[in-house]
Amino acid sequence: MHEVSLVSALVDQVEELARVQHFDRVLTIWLSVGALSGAEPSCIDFCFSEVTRSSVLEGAQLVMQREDVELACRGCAELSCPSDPAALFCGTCHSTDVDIRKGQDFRIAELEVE
Amino acid sequence: MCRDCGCDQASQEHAHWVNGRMVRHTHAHDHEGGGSPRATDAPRRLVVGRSVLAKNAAIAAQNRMWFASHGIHVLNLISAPGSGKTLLLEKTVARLGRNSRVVILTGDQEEEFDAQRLRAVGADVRQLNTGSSCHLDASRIARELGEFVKPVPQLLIIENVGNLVCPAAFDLGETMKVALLSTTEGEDKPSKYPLLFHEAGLVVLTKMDLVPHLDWNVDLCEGHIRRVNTAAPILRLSARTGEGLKPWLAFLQAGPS
Repeated sequence: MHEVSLVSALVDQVEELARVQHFDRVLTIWLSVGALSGAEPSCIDFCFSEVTRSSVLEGAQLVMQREDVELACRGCAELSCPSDPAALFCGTCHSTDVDIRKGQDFRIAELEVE
Repeated sequence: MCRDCGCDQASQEHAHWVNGRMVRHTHAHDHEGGGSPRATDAPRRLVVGRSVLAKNAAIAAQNRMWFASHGIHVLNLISAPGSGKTLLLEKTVARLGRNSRVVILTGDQEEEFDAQRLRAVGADVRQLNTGSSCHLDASRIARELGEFVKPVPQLLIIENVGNLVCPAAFDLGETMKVALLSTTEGEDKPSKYPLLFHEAGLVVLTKMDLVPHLDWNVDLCEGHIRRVNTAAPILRLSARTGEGLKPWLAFLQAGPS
């Protein structure tokens, strides 16, 4: 399952932050999950407690916020947010020549730590 | 009694790191080198805003610089399992000949079968086994640079683990992603897995020789590719019959220049 490796990468990042920012435990973690990130919130939720065991994230509350896709059209320069993440074309002129500006990232947004 | 230090001076309960593990226990003195327990610290909020894959992205950027500084053109081949990546590479190596400057890294969860097949036709190839992981990541590639992949101008083909989702999310530092789709898969796959097909610099339709035997519509499929990617050339080929191999080889040979 792909999400296991994503959550493992997440644990590595947070443990590095724990060393630099001097915290022992994460109480709450807020994640931003892009609609095109390849990460599925239900799968992250499913494996989170197991993968974070014996780490600073053990027992942390997990809050996930979905980040919608935002496209910038190379033709008409308009921004659009398709409701269907697979519809990668401009909402204004329908060109498929678009840059994905948002929705590809799987980010740690915030941490509550002690 | 505390299982880490053996103390029995119980006072306030706290949790902290001991030898890489989170330990909750109660005692009244410091552990070896651990400093004072921080159990009384008030909770605080940290705004992070960092990509979970930032570490992979940083290593991929280093790989990309290394490839560029040595004139190495890198293709990352991504498809579902069974689309014919290995057969295409077998035919490619056989047609290019042993003196061509091509090296191959082939990824699978287990076994060396792909490397054995490619070696049998004369390929310079190394098998990368990912174990439980469903994709190659940048650090796995970085380990081969300067080792198996020599710092000389050449073409490096990375045959990723068969999977349409995760390999698209893990940058390896490649010059270009190449997506393969076989005619035994649904025509609508590019719309169902849009990220890979959006990012691909070339889309290869494989097993074209089977089309007469299938209810598979090439125009419908190319329409789905164009929904997510306007620019990428689409190559129709059959590694079995040799149809379309010429433009594929021309594409490979044009790459490093």
